[in-house]
Amino acid sequence: MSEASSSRKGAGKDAVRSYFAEKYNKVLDSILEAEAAISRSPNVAEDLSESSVSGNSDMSRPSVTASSSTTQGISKKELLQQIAGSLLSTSIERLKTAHSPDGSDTLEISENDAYEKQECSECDGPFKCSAHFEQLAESYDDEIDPEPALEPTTSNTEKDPFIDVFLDKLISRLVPEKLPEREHFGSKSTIEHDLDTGRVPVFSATTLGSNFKKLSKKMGAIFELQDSIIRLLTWRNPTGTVTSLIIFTLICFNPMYLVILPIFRFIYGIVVPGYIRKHPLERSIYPLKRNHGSSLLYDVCYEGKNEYSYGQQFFSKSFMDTLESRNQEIDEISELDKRPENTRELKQGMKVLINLRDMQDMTSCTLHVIDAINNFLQKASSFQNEEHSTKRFFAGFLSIVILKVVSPFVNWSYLFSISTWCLLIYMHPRAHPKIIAFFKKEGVEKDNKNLERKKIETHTMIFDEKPEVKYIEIFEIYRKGLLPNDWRFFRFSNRIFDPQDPYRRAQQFPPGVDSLDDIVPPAGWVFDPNFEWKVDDDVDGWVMERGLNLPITGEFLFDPMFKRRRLIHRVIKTATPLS
Amino acid sequence: MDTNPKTKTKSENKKIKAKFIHNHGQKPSLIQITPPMLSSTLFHAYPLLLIFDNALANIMWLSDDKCLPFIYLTSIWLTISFFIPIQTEATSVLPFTSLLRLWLGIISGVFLFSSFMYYIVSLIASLKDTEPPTLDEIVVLLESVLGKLEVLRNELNVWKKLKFSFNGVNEKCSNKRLFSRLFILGTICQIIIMRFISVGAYTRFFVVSTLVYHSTSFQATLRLLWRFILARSFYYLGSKTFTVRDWSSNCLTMEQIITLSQEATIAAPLIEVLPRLLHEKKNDDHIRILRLILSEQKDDFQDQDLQVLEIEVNENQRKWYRDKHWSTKLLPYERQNFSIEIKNADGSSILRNCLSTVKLGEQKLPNSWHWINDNWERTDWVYSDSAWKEIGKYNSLESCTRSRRWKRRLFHL
Repeated sequence: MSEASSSRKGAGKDAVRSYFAEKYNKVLDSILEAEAAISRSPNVAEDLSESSVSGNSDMSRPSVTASSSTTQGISKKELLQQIAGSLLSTSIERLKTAHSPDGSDTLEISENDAYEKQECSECDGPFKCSAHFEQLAESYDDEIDPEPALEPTTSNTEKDPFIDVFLDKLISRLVPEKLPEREHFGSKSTIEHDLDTGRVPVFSATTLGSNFKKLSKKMGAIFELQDSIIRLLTWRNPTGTVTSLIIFTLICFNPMYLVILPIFRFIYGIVVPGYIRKHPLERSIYPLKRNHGSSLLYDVCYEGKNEYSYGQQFFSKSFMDTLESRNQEIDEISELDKRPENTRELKQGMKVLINLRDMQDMTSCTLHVIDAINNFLQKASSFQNEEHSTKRFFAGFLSIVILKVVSPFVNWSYLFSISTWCLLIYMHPRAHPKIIAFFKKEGVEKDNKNLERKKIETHTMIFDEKPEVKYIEIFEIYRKGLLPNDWRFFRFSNRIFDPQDPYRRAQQFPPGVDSLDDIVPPAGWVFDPNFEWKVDDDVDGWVMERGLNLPITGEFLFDPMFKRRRLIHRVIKTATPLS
Repeated sequence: MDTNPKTKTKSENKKIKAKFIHNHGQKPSLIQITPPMLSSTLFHAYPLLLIFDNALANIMWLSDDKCLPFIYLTSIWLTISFFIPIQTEATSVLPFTSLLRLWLGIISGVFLFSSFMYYIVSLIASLKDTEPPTLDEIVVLLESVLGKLEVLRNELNVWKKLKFSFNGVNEKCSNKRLFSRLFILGTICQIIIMRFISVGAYTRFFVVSTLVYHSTSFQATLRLLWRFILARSFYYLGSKTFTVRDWSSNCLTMEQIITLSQEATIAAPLIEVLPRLLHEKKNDDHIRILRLILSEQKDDFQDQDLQVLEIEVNENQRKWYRDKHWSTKLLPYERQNFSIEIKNADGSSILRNCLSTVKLGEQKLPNSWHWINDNWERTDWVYSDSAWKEIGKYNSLESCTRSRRWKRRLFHL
């Protein structure tokens, strides 16, 4: 980008800023920041791709330095950080405006439509149009538009806000246009084929963003489910826990319940309440004001404050709901006007926020779990610690054999249901410490015994596999002196140093040392201490393998200036693999 | 050529990395050395070689897609079931089940046959379409077939592997012993298996295990299981029960050693030996030995022979983990920490366990036997591999065992 265009952009920036001073100041700032960052480096994507090929991390290219004097010291990393920062701030601003309670934005914009057009005609250059575009786009914000475009790739240019388009364009410049399918990630040959056929979905930040946004609203149900499962497992809802245990037992004994129960749930959880809502049963039940006595199950199992009184538990929640809803229906119409707007908005915002937090927790939890699994797999499979890995292998092998042999003789229904009951009783917050205390007494004695046994039984495995053995070669090169039979030791080299050798052609010394002590084995290998350097007698063999056509005398291979012989040594692969 | 001495001194301090010897180097042109008869025969055998190579690859589970051999395996299983049905109680078998089994057997047999035929037809068709193979291609294929056969032979040669004996002095145990070991163990296993498993199941088990045997996973499993002493003890159980006499847990005492190695004693005229014997001794020993001899032999000892016995005890140690220290504990079925080589009447020798040299030295000697040397002389450690095959004098990654000799001489009048 030239100097002129950047100055024009500056003028455009001023004009737009004065106009949007009030509302879009921050949004604009971040956009302009990003745009400025881009303008400093016009070929970000190209640069990135180039640097990945050539490995050139230097940013100070002549074309870049010409565009702006301030960019001299900016490295690529800083640039990316700036872009990322501005993108983040943009998205935050977007989120704020999307959930801002005052809905007057759109009105104001539509009112000022004419004025804006005037303003726009004044400023020329590319930025005017985008600013223009942004306002249009703002009016199509998600809160107002109940059905945002499902496929932004098609209706992108018309409907979506400017920032989305901008982000999309920016990211599409940074990433390759067509991404290969995950399946073909490993093999290179198929990628090109797929790219040619063009069946590959394009990466779009807009789609991703909108999906996330929609997801964050709709994930509520999933998180509630997750939460209810946790409540069941921690006995915060004891009746629910016992009920689910009974249901699990039923499923264990007859898997058909997996089909029956969802249907049951659908009929009695959704269809029947719907019927009752439409055709209320005329059953007048008067809840008592005070309740006495309490349930055994609740008192035994409930952990924490006993919030519920006895009577309330008898009326199931759904029943209470229907009762309530009947009353509410009447009130609702009258209440709709009274209810302040803000509470709904606040509730909505809060919900989104909670969902986002849960999503964040979930993702970090997932990462933890993945890390733990990876760690375990790596430990088990890498044979870094031979003993551990072998033990794991043996444990796995033994369990396969035992399970296979034992499985026909075990009633798995009983086993699973009883173990689940035991596990959940064990997990009960009040029972847990007691059980642990009970087992600890026995555990201490056992530990002592185990320790004693461990001292004796350390020799259950033996690692006496033969390590890998190979041979290495080194050439002992002699140089011709002045007299015909005067050969002087030149050096030990890993190159044969024949007349075709590139070092010899370049009239340089071959890489070499003067003493055999300076020769090191290849990485991950060690010299066999029970083996000395040995001269290879089979000169024909190694000469033939290399396809050399030079005279051989004894153990030496001659050429007009040098003679050399091959020394071999035995090397053993080290037990510890190189990380 | 750059002969500047400075560059030479610069490179002097450097270390260079040696390169591996690669056996697959450039080979002289085959076309020149292969006779035309052989070439034409090889050319005609090319499709057969390809089929054979593919069959070997399938047996070794070498193809990238591991599912295909598995499907074949299942089909083979079902086909065998067709011929040898699973024996179940007649009452529980529904007619539908047996029909299904028959149908599956036929279908999988047909599938196997047709997939084999299809492969051959497609192979011939593709050979027709493409250019005829060069001699190099044929030779590479031949090498690949040979390599695979070599691997199969190595893996199948259980006999050779099992012949490694850890206890004897000889490197390998005798064929007779191995045969009896396998016979006893095998028979016991067979009886147990046949007791619980039907003939059909046994056949299927046998066929499947042969088909799986050459897969990498199976071989690795065998190796990993061999790491466990439990597995090894099970294998050597046969040998142990056979040779209880040799491996009775009690170690030989000094008295037993002397009686057992009586034949190895060297008789020497006392007149000749005595000066030499006394020459090596210090003053105290000098007098003591003389006194001993005098007390034993009150007459003149002109025509008396002195019996000299050299005892050579091996101290053995084993490395259980590659990076850890040497342990005095050895495998239950091999030579123990201290062992001694006893010569049999027929000239063969056998290793037997004995007490440690310290304990042997402390023990009271039987009548009229006396130590010549005051202490045990010991040699340096000799390192060997897991089967006690000698490697060398230095500890390396290869060595799993080591042993050294303790020598001490006795005399008897």
